[in-house]
Amino acid sequence: MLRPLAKAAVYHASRQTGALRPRPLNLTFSVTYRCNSKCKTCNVWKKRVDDFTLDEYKRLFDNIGHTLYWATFSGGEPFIRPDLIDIVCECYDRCRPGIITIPTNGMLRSRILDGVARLSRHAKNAKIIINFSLDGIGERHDEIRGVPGNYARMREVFRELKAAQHPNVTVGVHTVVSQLNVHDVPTVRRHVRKEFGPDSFITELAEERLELDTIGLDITPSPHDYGVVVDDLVNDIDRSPASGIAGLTQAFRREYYQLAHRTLREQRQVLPCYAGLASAQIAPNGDVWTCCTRAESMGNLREAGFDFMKVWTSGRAGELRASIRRGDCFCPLANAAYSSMLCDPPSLARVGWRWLTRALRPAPRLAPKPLGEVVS
Amino acid sequence: MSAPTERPRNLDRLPLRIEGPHARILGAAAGEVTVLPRGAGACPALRGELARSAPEHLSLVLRVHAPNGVPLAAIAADVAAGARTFETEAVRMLAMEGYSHLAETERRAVEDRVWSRRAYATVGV
Repeated sequence: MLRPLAKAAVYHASRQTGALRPRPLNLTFSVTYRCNSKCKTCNVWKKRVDDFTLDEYKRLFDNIGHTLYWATFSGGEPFIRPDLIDIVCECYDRCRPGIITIPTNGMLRSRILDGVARLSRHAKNAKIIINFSLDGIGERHDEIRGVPGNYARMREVFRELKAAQHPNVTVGVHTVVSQLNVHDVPTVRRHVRKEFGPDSFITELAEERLELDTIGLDITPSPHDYGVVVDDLVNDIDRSPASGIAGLTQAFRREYYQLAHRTLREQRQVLPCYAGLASAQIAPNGDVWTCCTRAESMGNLREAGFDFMKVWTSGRAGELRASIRRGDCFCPLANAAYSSMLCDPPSLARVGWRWLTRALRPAPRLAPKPLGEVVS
Repeated sequence: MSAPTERPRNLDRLPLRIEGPHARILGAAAGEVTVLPRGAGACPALRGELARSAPEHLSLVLRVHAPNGVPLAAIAADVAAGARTFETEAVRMLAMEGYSHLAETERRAVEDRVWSRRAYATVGV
């Protein structure tokens, strides 16, 4: 936690002045668009590009070096790549991220169970977060995700991974809140707590994004309906306060949910966005994006000889940062929002104050096991 | 900056938002661009008028956004010193590189769906 906080001041100064170009502390590597789900809230599985090879990732990780704190490996379904764990291990060896997150639909049983076991042994000093997607209960989940039997299969793989009790692995559940399930989310949350018992439960708003080709799909819930969900999530956090670092994480998450709701309601950049500075995404073909919402390329790493800083400091990158700084766009993208909160002094003050006041309060005697112990 | 909360009725004329120092350079904080349809299968172009003549040669980057702020298309435009109007080439729809395997008609259908979400434009200098 101290590492990103120490860099936050540099990002803040960079955003204010435009003079500095620090490397990002939070990178998402989308390793493929291929996916064995056919979600109603996502068209990414229809896309095809020439995915980076393992050797290309090695060259990139060597170039990035030890500056990364949080690495996410997304897709598509990341486990659809047989070499996913090889890629993640190479990233760990060459970049030493403190947090590694992998979202999954939970359907590729042996790749997930064997792969996470191997990763846990290899990346001993990293906190590894495996987030299983769950958008409904039973057949409703299968209907939204477009795969019959997905729920049952995912639940079984989740149970097995949780039972493995890898010491540095957090097994979580991730729900995308869309028009298709917005009224069910409180029920889903209670179901997850009772039936899954995850180490964390997180949600994200279904947005119309370029990366996922969801523009025009009308999947985003109304501000009113999403507000009901946020109230439920915030009340759940307040009812089950965690202590220590888990409590700090909860405080960040609580701040994020309210930020997401305000962004949806007010249709503006409520929190200064640090995408393209503190965080970025690398598409499967090596395009570097400020974020997956915009999916506008700063440049391509293959064309730049895998020289990350050549792309990161390009004129195109500067133009995109200026557009974000002007507030041309606004979104509640979780991954970027958590980095932005770290770099925003008022957000940090609110989170810190909430955490401290919680920490000083006597613990409830029969507190239920809290959901939401890690930021993801 | 606050963006439109509802979609404009006339999608052939989009509000143009001009922020910060660009407003000083271009002489206005807001304007309008007109969508110029091209032939079948081609993306449209944009035409705009500045509040005053360009004090020097300007290289603009125009983006067309969805109501939720996501940029959908972008295009560069040059304005000669002393000129007030500009017209772009066909806009470039963003993030279409994953659809090169599609037939032209399928690809066009995706572009049309994305373009149907246009709500406002922004400009960088």
